[in-house]
Amino acid sequence: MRRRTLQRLANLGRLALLAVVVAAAATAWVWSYRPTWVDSLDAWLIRKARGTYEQRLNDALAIRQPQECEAALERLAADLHFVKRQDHLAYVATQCLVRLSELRDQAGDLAAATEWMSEAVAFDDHNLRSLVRLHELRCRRPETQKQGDEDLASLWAQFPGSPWVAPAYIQRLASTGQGEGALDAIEKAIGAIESNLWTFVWDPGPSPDGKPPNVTDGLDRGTRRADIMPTIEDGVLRVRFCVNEPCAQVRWFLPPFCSFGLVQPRLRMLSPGKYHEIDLAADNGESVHLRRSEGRIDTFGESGPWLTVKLPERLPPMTIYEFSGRFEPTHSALLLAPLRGPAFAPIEQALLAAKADAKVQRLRELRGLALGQATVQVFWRTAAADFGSQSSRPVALGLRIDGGAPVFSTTVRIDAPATQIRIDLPENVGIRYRLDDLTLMRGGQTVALEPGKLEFAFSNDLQRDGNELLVTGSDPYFGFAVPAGDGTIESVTFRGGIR
Amino acid sequence: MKRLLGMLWNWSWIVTLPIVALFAYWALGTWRQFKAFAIDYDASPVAVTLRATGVEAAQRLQHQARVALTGGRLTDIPTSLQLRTIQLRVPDKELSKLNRDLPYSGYQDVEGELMYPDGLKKVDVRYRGDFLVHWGYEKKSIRVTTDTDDLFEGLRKFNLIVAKFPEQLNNYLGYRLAKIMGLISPRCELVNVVMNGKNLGVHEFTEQLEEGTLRSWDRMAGDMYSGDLISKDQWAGCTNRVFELPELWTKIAANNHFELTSKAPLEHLLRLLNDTQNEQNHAELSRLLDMQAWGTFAAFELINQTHHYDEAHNWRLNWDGWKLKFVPIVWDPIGWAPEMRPPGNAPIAQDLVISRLHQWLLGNGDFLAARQAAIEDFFRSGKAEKFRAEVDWTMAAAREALARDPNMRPADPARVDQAITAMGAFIDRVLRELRLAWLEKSGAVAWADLGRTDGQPWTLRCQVTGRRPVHAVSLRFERALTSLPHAALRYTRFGKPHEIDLTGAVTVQGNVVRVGARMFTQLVPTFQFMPNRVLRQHTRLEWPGIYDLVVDGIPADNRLLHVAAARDLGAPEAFEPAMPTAGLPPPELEFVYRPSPPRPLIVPQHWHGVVDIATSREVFDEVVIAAGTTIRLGPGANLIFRKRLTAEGTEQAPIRFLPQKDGQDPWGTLAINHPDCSGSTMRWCEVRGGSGWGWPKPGWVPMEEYCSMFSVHNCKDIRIEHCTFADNHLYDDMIHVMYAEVILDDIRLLNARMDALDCDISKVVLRNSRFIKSGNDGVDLMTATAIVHDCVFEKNGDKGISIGEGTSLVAARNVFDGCVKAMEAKDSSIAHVFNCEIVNCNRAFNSYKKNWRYDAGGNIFVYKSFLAKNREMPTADQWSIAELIDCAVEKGATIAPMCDMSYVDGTTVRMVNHARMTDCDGGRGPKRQRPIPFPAALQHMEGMARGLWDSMQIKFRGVPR
Repeated sequence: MRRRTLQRLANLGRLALLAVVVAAAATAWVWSYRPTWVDSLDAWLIRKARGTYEQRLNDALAIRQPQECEAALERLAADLHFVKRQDHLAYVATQCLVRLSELRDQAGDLAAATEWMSEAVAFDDHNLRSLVRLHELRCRRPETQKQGDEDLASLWAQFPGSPWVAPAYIQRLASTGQGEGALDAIEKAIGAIESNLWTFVWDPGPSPDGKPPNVTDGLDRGTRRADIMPTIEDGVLRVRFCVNEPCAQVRWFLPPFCSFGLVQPRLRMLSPGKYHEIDLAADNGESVHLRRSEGRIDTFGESGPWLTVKLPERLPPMTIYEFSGRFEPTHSALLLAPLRGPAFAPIEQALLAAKADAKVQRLRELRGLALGQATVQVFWRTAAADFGSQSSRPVALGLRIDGGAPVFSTTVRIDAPATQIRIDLPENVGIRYRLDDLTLMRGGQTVALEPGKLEFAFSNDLQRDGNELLVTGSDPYFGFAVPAGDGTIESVTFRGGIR
Repeated sequence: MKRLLGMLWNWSWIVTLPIVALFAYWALGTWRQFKAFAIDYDASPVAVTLRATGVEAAQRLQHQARVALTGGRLTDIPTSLQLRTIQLRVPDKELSKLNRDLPYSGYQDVEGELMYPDGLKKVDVRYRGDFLVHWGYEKKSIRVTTDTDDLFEGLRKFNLIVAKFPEQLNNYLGYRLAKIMGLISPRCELVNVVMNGKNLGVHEFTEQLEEGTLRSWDRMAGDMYSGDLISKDQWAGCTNRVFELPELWTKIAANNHFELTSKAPLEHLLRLLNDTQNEQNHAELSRLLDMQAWGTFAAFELINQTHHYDEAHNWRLNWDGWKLKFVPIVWDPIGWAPEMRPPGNAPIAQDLVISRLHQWLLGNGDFLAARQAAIEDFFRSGKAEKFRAEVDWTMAAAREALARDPNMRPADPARVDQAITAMGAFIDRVLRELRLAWLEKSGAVAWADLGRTDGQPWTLRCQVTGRRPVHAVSLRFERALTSLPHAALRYTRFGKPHEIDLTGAVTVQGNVVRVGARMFTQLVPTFQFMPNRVLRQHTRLEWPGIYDLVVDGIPADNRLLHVAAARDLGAPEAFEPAMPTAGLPPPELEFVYRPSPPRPLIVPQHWHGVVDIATSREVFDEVVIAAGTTIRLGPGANLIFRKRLTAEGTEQAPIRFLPQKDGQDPWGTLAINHPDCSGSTMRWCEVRGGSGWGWPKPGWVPMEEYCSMFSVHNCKDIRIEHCTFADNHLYDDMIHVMYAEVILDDIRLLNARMDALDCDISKVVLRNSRFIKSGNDGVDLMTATAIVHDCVFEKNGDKGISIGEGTSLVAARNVFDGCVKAMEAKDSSIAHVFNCEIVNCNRAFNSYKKNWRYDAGGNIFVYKSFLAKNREMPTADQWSIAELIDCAVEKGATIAPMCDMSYVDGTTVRMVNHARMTDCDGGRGPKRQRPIPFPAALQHMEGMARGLWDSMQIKFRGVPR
């Protein structure tokens, strides 16, 4: 090469090096004196690297056409092969695989559905819902049934009280004729350890002059929180503590998956010269996964029940708070849910045939308890209108345990000149309702009907024996004529038991 | 000028090229780190940012250059401050496998080598740790696993852990503190780690917890549970709270007498912790937990100011199946970490309420008393000074090593130095504030004389404030008392009355009545906002504790003059005056349970005649059994004493423990098991026809186990004299001694099914006794301190005395006749034996390494003894010592050059015999006639064994008769 060319190349090289040095200096300056630029670059890089995949997932899930949706998800799954369980994109990969499995299942391709689910579990073997779904899919295929059953049993042994795992396992046992095994599993599930840890979150609110104190977090950020265990003495649950800060509203997180009733729940607040009391059943603050009804709060085994209470005023530091209520333990409706299905009716018959009376009794009790959250639908007919959605009202059966047996007491407002009333009971083949009382309220007066002698105008999927009604099908209801009289029917109340 | 510029331009690459190289290295490193741990891996709770990554990379380069140029060598450090160096060699190919895709690739073992004192040996190496700090930077936390035949200093697995915080020493000092306080904790040492010839920097050499940890703390092998549900162990779909999920705890070690996967004791504890707090449940908690250990653990947490033991992780629990107690094990305390310190000048935490277990404990009177005792002991016994001295040395040594640590994080030496100084200052502050809060006199006891109302006994209402509990109350009356009054502590909770009988804790001296009533202030839950310290927001506030002390039997006209309260554990006789007050609120005690343990008057049961025990009975009273009593036990029946037993028969009228009927199935176990059994005696007793309880029934997981007909567990000062034990069935041992101190004198153990006397982690004196035809060993010692003398071991199916696992033994004047082996020493045990006879045995004695958990075998020295008609002379493997010194042996007898060593797995290995013989020949007269000094290795038992040692007949070989 000629010397001149070499010289040019050398100069280019020197120039390049110098340019990089200048870039290095600039980088150092930016890093030191323009941190927000670096942070912006940080955010941009992350968006660029991850944002596309997140967007692709959202786009794919939004596709209505199943085949197109599948194709998009399959491409995405292939592109995400580098992602691992604890990566940021792990949730994208999981959702992708799970949805693919669901789509294949809907299309009737169990083998492929199982394959996708296996991939999801291989990706993350610490996801209970994925694991349950995989084992259930395997149970549905003859060639993998044994493995599915074993794996489901093994998972349940690790999580006996889990509302994701236990119902699936119990259902599987019941549907394969293993009635006694299912009953044992239910007992173990409802007997599993139930958490007693409550979390209290408080919001100091703005000060009276409108300025926020140190940090106003609000309840959602939850940085002002503490865990505490209540005591239960003589059937009364109590939690008592002080808060060393002003308090404007509070949120109670009840233990996850808890299941109980609190009767007359109260929040009492005592500070120097002041006393406040709130009826938590009547308070209309926000709540999730719990039910407030007259004089009580109920939870049913769902994952995160909480309630928010706005305090009557911004209370000062060192106020004493006492939360209390009469405690009625129940069993998780989620864990008992399989008992509401049809698989248990033949189990009861089999136990009856084997003269296992104690087990029959227990099964009936549990099936009754499974109705804890069940709804009764009451319809009424007037002269002007037939039964219909406009003239109906759903209401919780209001089941509770009294003396070891499930009982209910339900009142439904009607406020109409009803001529006939129809009561739709929860479907649960084999359940026997016992009606002890049936009363109407008309014009402020109580009209008592004798359940054992009341003539039914019509009934469906029910076998009657005096005041007992046995559910025999999936749509049980009965109707009766309202006794003649003046005045609007304000409400109907029925009380009884279940076995 | 132009020329100069031209020259500069031409040679500019000398400056620009290194800068470009450095910049490229920095940029590439920053990008790789950012991509791996910010874009790809979710490193939360650590937030990895581009800016911080770049800054750290630059600082690291700067620091590495500084260390390379000016740091000096590790060998330059003064010897007194030098840390040990651990040398690893891992081929680059294997290292690449580990680093390929962090953190996932780092968890797979690769092959490496470790430098032992005698050279390099193969090990497995991988990274460990849940969070970025352990594998996200140049210096990584490493797990090393050795071969079972090549333990490293007795460890199969150990960790080399990087520091998490700028002060570098949090866990190391935490473990040192735990050891000083007597808490079970892993071995930990600050070391330099050199890999492939390069100094990686300072690490914490930390033992990986496993069964060997328990053995090193003189505990029986039992269940060890690990509760950790964070990071990769977290589950989607459950709460990940360890105290709700017993099935998700891991068993690090297991009692192999039960189903290995069973977690029954843990489930029992967790079920209790999720129940409601009431007196009954707190009594159960006190039964399940070793409160002394838990009190010490709580004191440890306070001194560390750590909130690292939370609802989600870091719990290590040992279930001791013989003490029937849960004991905490210290793991990863990260003491005095910056995030544990109170902001600004806010006071330190005096109560840590991090989990529901903490909430339970803070309401339990037994725990509160234990915690107080532990804190007082720490400050009064010199442990605080000892720890402080360790801190000083550690900081000095660490500074030296860190100055040469190229991978120190943070890479700013000034920051690290400041952090170490700040940590030292914080430790001092913690010690100062704790001493002030817990030892200095604070709070007071006020009292109001309620007199007698409505026929009720005389009542004194007391109010307690201040952290120090009251241990006793002293009441001075006008006139002397003539009888012992009854006393009780009363209080209400939510209107419901509670009463604790304290009559057994009352003493009267003239006109002064002392009642051993324990009372506390109350610790009320108080929530306090602490920015960035959510786990600390549940605090406790002191409220007065009010109690009614009821004393019945005080005459109405005997006026109360003065009340004083004892609050100082270090000076239990020092009473502080209590202040009279006009009136006190009612004794509503909401936040303390079991303030005082019940102390009813002890009225012993007296047994005589024939006592039938058809089914199992647990006795909670003291029992005195009269001479001539016969106790007849039905099939499978167990008799367990939880308080002192006095069974003193006579030679003419012995006390008998027999089957109820001839030919029945064996009865279960006779046991004395509780610290309250201390001081029990059995004289002239006969025990026959029993078996055991609890094991090895398949599939059954009880809470207790007794592997013997007669058991002595968890008590001291026990004397068994002139007793006969015979014909046990089904279970291994005839007598089992565990965590006890026992003297056995003139006992006969006949026809034991397997081992006649099994002593584990105990102190035993055995003398004048006979062990005839045991199915296995006459005496089996494990981690015991024992003296055995003037005993006869005849025709035992295996050893006369088995000296196992860390036992120390002095034995004298024993006759071993017709045993398979007279004695066998193994696994770091030491035995010095003199003036014995070993005759007609298959092998005289043996020493070897049996358990791979030990890196040494047994040591046995036999002096001035007589050996004859034994088929084989002593043997020893390469890790052991078996020495005959100045003994009489048969003419021509020699130590065989090779021997066969049999192991529990059934294998037999032919090996070189390392046994030795010195000054031995066929005569009875010894060669040396100078006294033999007490063995240095047994100094710890000199008090116990000196008298016996001095009785050695140096002029005679064999048993002097």
